[in-house]
Amino acid sequence: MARMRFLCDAERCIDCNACAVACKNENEVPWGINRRRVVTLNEGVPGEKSISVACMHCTDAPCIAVCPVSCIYQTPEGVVLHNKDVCIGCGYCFYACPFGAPQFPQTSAFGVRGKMDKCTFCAGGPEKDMSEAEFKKYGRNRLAEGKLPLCAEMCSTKALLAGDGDVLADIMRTRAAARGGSMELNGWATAYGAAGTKESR
Amino acid sequence: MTASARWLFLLLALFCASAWAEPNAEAAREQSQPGNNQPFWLDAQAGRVGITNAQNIDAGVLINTGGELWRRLHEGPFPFWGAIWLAGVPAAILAFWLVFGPIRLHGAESGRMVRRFAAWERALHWTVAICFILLALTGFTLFFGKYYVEALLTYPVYSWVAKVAVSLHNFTAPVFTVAMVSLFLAFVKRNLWRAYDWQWLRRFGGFLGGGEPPSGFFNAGEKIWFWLAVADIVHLSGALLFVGMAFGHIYIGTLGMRGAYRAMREGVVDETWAKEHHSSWYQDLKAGRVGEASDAPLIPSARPVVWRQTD
Repeated sequence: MARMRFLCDAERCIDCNACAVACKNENEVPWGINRRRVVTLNEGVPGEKSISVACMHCTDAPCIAVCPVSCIYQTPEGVVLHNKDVCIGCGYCFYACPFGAPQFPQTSAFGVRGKMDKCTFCAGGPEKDMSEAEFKKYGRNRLAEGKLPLCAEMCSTKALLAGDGDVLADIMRTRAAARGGSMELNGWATAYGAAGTKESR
Repeated sequence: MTASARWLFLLLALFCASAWAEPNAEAAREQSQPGNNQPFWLDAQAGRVGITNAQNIDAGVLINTGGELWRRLHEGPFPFWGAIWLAGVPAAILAFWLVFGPIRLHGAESGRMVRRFAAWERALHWTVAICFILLALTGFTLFFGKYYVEALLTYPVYSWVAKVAVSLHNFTAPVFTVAMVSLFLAFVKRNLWRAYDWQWLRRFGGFLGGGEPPSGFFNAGEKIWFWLAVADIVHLSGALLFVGMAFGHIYIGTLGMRGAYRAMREGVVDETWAKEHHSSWYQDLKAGRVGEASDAPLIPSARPVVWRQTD
């Protein structure tokens, strides 16, 4: 079975933020939540590079490990999803995540956190696939429709890729060979374990 | 400040800023090896803060591994040693009680009462106590829940319990904090260390007979993470320690020492009790160096609690 992953090519990302906009529109993300964001280092000076980042759907996901009510789970395709009905808004996943993916709308009085919200790899949640309830809580279930996440589909420079990890690695290998540079799978070590280890499968 | 001085200041600031703007590693690499952005990725992995449109906490950081240590502590030694501690202390107290029994008075009760705690002091104590027990129970549910409670209650039911627990925990905490600070202020003077306290401790209370943007080593993102994680670990260590010690406090205040519970319920202790358990205070009291606690009721019209001796 395919292992779903994200990959962003720093040589190609132009900081247009179309991925972030596509995500917000497709999933009707609540105000104040950014499931995907673009971060630029060395902004305005030589060496400027941008990367689009969201939940990386880690293999040994820290959020799953720390959730006190076990509301976060991983599908057989490696997509990390969560159950908003069970979430208690404690914020542990936010402490543990290296990519800043889990976010909390402040809906209640006294600044109490609401239900956690994060990127679903456009794969919805535990509700019935493509149901109204699923869309309201988690957004579109594009995987169930046979489509890939819209952020990557929308990317005009194909910097952001989503899909089977083996296919993505092949694409990146081809690009790197054409550039004569090195493989740029650096973000993967944090999310999926170092190459060659059991976690990296 | 005059206008010219302001301009001078601005020029100085600009000069300093230009001196900092050295070429970064990524820019240098683009010259020597175009297409190899290893320096950029090293920056990303080191948690350097960048520019982003997202307004969320720490959104400018691409990869922040600061939570990893927190995760390892939170999911490893804390639930393990915490459970041993919380089960071990009551077990040790039970063993102690079975072997030695409660502490009784050596002399006969005098029948004369001295007032040890005023009504407001007792009210404060029980406010702290009730909040503490609520916090401990809800905290236990949240921290140990997925190991013990969830298996007992099954998955969706436990989530509802946890939701109630998290709300109770959050709303009890401010009341507890205020009550605890008040209790501290009320008792701090009487808790200043005296020479005889060392002696008490030595004899175990008588039980034994004896780059750019400029950042330092850690950047802002790492620091925020660090303090969040530290705050949680301090909170957790403090809570585990506090709950364990509370078992001892509750034991000695109820089963462990005859006459102790009465001090906090009615506010009075027998003179013999005071003489045996707080001899220095008793001497101060007799010599008139300190006064007895006020016997004014908290609510002026309330009738005093009638205590029935059972043992």
